[in-house]
Amino acid sequence: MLINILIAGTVVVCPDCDVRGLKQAVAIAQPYDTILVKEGHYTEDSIIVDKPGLVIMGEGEAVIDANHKWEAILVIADSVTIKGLTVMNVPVSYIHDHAGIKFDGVSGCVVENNTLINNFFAIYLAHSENCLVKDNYIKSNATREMAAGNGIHAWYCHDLYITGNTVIQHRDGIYFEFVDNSFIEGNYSTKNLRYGLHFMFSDRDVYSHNTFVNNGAGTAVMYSRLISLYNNIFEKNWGGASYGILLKEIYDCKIYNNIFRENTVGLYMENCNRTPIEHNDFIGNGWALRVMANSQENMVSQNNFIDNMFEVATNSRRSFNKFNKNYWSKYNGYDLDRDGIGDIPYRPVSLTSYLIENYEAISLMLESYFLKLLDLLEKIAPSINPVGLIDREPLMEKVKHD
Amino acid sequence: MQLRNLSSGSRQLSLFEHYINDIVRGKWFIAYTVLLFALIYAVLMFSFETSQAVVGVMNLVIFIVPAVGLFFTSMYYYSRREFMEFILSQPVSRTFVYFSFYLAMSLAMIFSFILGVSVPMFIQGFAPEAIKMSLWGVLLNMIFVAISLMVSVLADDRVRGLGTVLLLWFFFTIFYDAVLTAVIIYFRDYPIEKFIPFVIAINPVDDFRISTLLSTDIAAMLGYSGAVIKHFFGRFFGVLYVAFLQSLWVLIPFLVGLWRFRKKDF
Repeated sequence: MLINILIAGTVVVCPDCDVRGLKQAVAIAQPYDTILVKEGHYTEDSIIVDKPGLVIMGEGEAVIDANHKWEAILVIADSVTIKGLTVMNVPVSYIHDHAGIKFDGVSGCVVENNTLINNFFAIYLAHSENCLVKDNYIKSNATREMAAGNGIHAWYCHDLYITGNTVIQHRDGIYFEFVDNSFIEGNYSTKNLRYGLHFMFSDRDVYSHNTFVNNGAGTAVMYSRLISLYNNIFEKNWGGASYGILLKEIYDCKIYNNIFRENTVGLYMENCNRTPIEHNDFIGNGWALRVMANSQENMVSQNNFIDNMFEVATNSRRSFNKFNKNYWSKYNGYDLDRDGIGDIPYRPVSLTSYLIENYEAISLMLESYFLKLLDLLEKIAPSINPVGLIDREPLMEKVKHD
Repeated sequence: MQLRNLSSGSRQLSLFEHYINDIVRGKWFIAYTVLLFALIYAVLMFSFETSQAVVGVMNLVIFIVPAVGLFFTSMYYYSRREFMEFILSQPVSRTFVYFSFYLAMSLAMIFSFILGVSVPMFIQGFAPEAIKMSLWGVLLNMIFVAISLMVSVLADDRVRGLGTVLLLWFFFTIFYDAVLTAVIIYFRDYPIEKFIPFVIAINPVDDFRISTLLSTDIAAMLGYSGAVIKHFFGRFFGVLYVAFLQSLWVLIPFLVGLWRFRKKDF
């Protein structure tokens, strides 16, 4: 293998060269060669990269245009690098998952600095491992969820590193199914029709420093264990069924230092268990937290809840989660001993919030003076609040996160 | 001076002129308009986005407009009863007198609504919302002035009249929603979402509240019921239904009051 690398040659592709297309270049290249794609518009599809170690590099505006025929590049060999290409116009199909750049059953791939425009699926990884997907710009013009594919789609993979990508207007921005031990870091996902991040059956993954803005349904993390979520921003995911994050069947995760701003529901937890939720900011959401009764043993602590319409909603009269030492902007208690902790406990579930969670049609009474009166009565006499959820040590000042 | 006008040609117009002059120059009316302007202006000043501004204004409007429409009309009616008895001793039609009073009162309230609510919204740059708000202002004021006038005509005793008006205000702003909430809780096992829009649309205050909420971001928080009601109000049938109900709220009290006013022994 070492010898292979040392004697590797370069194949140059340009519109006026002997080698006028990527398909031709792959055919004549030896394993571990570099294919240099010069600036130009190459109308090509179904390029199958089957030689290991090829480095395909675009120079300038090297455009591979699938011209709505079939998928553009399929890699089935290990250690292939694709850099600096522009791949466009991969068609929608209801039978095949056409992708701009697809890896199937490979190890050690690198996809870096590519631009993928108007593709069905953009970057597609199946049965692959040890891959780096870095700094790609991915944009589609999809308008219908049924006729749209995902920006970065990973299925049965492990040890992926997905970083610095921008995904706009696909179905799901980043899609993970059966992907373990992977990092999703510093990506920007926006205007996707369904989820900015869709994440299922994937364990021991980390996602951090990502921004998910204005996606159809926000982000969803489901059926997974041992996930770490930190320093992410979930913003403006607003709509009838939109969530900053939807957590479903989650065990032993960590959620910290995230910002949830102006989502219909900041954090939705259904059967989410043993997960500490700490040092997050919930600002201006419809509901900051919606905790279903089947979520248990979560620790909600050191978070800032600021200007949310409802702070916490739950459908149970009992609380199976701990709420402690959070800052609640609606708290109006006092602190006589000046230790920074309010002297009277705070109940973040308002009566209105409880009623709406249990009798959905009551949401039609939002902003009515009757509900305002109920909430006022509840503040004066908290005994009518049926919910046992309580923060015994509410903070007087906002938490300053590190 | 007013009497000289009355004895001359266009009696109805001059009586209407008299009423509207009298109302608009009254200190209560001026105070109300200025206060409304100040409150709305303050709410808008502290709102950073359209949604927040519209909901803030709506909150004030559903509290103040029914109350002032109801109380002001009744109080004015009772305070000018002697004058009305005097006018009725002149050769004028009772329908003319009633109509002039209603028209002057509604127009005065609408005028103060436009000055107190729509103008500050325009100034603060919420022009499209201001137009929609004005239309609702016209409707709400016409409804509550009609109801209050009917009550005042029916009840000779000032205390009973004002007491009834107080109860009605309570009914429209709080009690109706309370009953509806109880119904929703009690019938939770039934698909009440289908019938709730029909019932909730009966109350003009709720109509105003929900249509305003549906036009803002908060619509997303109304969930399934919100979607049902948006579908309902969005269709031609729904608009027709609401328009029909609201015109009934103006017509029925107006006609009942008129009927009583024509037969009444002053």
